[in-house]
Amino acid sequence: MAKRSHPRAKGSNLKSLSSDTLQERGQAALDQRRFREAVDIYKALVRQEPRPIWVQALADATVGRATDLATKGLFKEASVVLESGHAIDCRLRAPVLFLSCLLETGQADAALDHCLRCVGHGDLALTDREWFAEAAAVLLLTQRAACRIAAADTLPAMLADAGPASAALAAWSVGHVEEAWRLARTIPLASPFRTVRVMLKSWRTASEDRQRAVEHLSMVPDSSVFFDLRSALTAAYRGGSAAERLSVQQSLPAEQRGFAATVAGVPVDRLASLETLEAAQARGSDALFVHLLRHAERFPEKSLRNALIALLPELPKRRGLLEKRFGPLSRLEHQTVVARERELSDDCYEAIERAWSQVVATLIETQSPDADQVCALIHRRLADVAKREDGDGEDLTDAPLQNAMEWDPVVFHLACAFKADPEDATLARVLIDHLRAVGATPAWHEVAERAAVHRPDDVTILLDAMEAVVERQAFRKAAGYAKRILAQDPINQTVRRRMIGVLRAHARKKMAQNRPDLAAKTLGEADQWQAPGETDHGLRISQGLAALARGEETEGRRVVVDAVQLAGHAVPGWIEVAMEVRLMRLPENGQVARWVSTELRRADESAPTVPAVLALASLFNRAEMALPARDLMPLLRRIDRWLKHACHLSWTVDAFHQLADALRASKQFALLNQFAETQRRRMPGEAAFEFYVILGKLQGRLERATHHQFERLQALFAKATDCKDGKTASRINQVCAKSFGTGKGISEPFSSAQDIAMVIEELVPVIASIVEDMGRRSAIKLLCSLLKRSPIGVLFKDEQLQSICEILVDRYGPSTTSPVQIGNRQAAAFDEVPA
Amino acid sequence: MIADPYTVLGLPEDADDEMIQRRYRSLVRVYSPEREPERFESIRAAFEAIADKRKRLALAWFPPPGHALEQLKSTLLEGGPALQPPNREALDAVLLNGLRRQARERC
Repeated sequence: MAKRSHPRAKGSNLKSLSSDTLQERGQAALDQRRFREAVDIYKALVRQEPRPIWVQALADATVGRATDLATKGLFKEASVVLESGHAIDCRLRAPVLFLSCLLETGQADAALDHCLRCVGHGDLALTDREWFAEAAAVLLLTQRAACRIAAADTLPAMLADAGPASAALAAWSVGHVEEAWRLARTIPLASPFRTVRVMLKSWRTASEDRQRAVEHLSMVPDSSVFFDLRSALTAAYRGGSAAERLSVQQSLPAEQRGFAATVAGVPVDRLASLETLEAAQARGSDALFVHLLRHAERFPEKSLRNALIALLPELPKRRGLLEKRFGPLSRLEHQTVVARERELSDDCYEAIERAWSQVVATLIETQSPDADQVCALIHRRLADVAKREDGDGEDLTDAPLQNAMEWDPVVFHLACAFKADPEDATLARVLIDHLRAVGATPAWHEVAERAAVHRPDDVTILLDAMEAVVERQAFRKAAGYAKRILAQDPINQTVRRRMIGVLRAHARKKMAQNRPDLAAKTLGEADQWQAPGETDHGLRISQGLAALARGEETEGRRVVVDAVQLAGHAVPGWIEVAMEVRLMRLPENGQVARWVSTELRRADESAPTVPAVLALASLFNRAEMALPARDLMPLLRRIDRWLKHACHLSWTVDAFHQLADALRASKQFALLNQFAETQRRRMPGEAAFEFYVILGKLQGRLERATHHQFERLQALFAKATDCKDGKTASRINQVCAKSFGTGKGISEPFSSAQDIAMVIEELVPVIASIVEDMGRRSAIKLLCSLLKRSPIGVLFKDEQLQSICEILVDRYGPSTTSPVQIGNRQAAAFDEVPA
Repeated sequence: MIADPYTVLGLPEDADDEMIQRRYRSLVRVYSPEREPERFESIRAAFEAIADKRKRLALAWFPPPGHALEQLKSTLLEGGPALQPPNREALDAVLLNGLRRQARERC
């Protein structure tokens, strides 16, 4: 569509208008940046009466118009407009813009005159005048205006050093550095020509110390007119290596590139070669290939051959040309080019794998010294390609390495790479991470232990190996790995704590084997891994119980009681002792268990506090203390009174979130429900408590929520958001995202039309077989339960789901349930209805 | 694009671990991160890229796109160690363009 221009005010029209109307229109034109029109209007107004306000507005309009023109690249026109603006009241307006216009139109003399006028102009601030003095200095130096420099008395005092500065530059450019320096050192540091002095000083220093020369140049500020010269010289000094020169070249504007390269000693013809090479590169690979072959004499042969071989995958037909110039490619080179060509052409994974496998075979055959490491690199590359192709890969839950290699190409190639180069710790970590991600537990255990053999010095590998053996309950071995880690990293507190945990686990094993003597020995070893000045109360509990098991009753009891005191709270402390008793498999009716039970009952009578309850919740959350629910429930029953009181404490929402997080993580949903219900009754309006009530009821599985509960969750989320209760809102959202497995929280549209379509699409193909196998009624029941568990289940009430399933069975059931048969069935149903 | 690490460090392509370490340390001493952060960063990146044999092999076998061409270009800019006096025309052009750029930026 053509741009609609605003009608410009014509001179004849303007005359007929009153000054008020004109002023109004002029102001509107100024506000709307219609400067051309504003100039005309204010000109007419000033002609009527030169009011200062109108003169000012005219000047503003003129500057605006000139800026517009300069933005469009019409510098000549912009400078004319600005000159006319100067004529309004002889004041200097937009002097930098005017200078820019003069420079862009090549009016260097006029630019110099303008700068000189600005240097002496009282309207300008001192900093601006100094900038114009530097600009005048540059113009004086670049024009080599000998007559003007000679008549130094006609120049402003600021520019009195034009003579020595110009002479110094002239001497410098013909290589008379000392003469140039003799002249330059007479220039005072307050002069606008001071940069010439700085440059020459850095130049003299550069022959001995380029770094110091660069530091000298840093005296020229970024705002200086000489800044570009500073950049070019800095680049020249830094050109230590050719690559740096190249990167410097590529970062500089054209004129600075030439300057920097020639000053750095690069022949001019090579610069021209670089430019033609870059031009050829811009025309595409083929043009570049031809250019390189045509100008082969400009480049070292080896680099040229490498560059051409690197281009071959893109240009397979050019291989003949290359071989004509450099002789035939070796088998390995040829196979590598083919493999890269396959990758580049986005060939299928099998073709790429085949091509690289040939390279691997040749490498092994030729027995080159780095063959193993190169093979590992190629396999890793293939694993990346396979990963891109397959996405997340197969689910390899519990697969050993051999099976995982057969089923998953990523595992296969990573394992091949690991086999070829087992000392590559990074590769081992990649393989372990991948195997863990796909659930191949035995496989990652195997790899971690093998990697630890090859890299006994690598802490991350040893940590993995330790975790692997802990999962296999080989605690002694795990302690060995921890010891090796701590030999390298003795202050690693996490590993020290892990070491203590591992030794406690080993001691439990020994206790279960009825060897308290060995358990006590192991726990004694654990003592040395405690941080200086700290005592691990858990370790003390284990030691006390081991002592009790060995018959050292007084000592054992004393140690346990001390440990409970060290824990800080009686109930969590004695619960921990009771849990340890279970973990150590001490007899349930034994003396120790009875004593602990008595102490626990006594502790139950104490008053609960919020920190004590939080300590108890975090105890359930510790992996090494994990007890099956059937073992834990009797313990909780013993502190029933204490827990009831704890429920009635006045919990703040923040503290309750901490408690709920710990209980959620340890799957203590019944307890969570009990606490949340009491708090909800205490504070009915609080969204957090109601959310935890629902969560507790559903055992943390929100996907089991009924339609009504889901609606409540949505309402609670909205309420928490409205009340700016971010913690509650984010928890509702996170738990929903995790439970429904859709990756969406409750804040997003929960089930899109695509989700519904996807679920139904997945169900439809199996409906017929389900109905055939189970019969219609059971099939509907099964489909209902499937739909209820799917991401769309929460959207519908049970009756709605039932109807959907009936329709689906009727529509997509086996051929026996064709529409005719449906009709028959309905008819039969009518028949069965009693009259 | 990352410059060729060997040329950034000024090393031949057959440099071994020790040579690379020594060169890196000497360069870092001169171009410390406090004095020249950008330059230090490029030296560090170059060192990281060829610090051990596996990385050097990876660079040789799976170079980033355009790597060989960059190497070739840098051979064109291999100059003598001594600085040459500036060409007066080139110097004037740099000064004038600098003034023009500054004026444009100040507008």
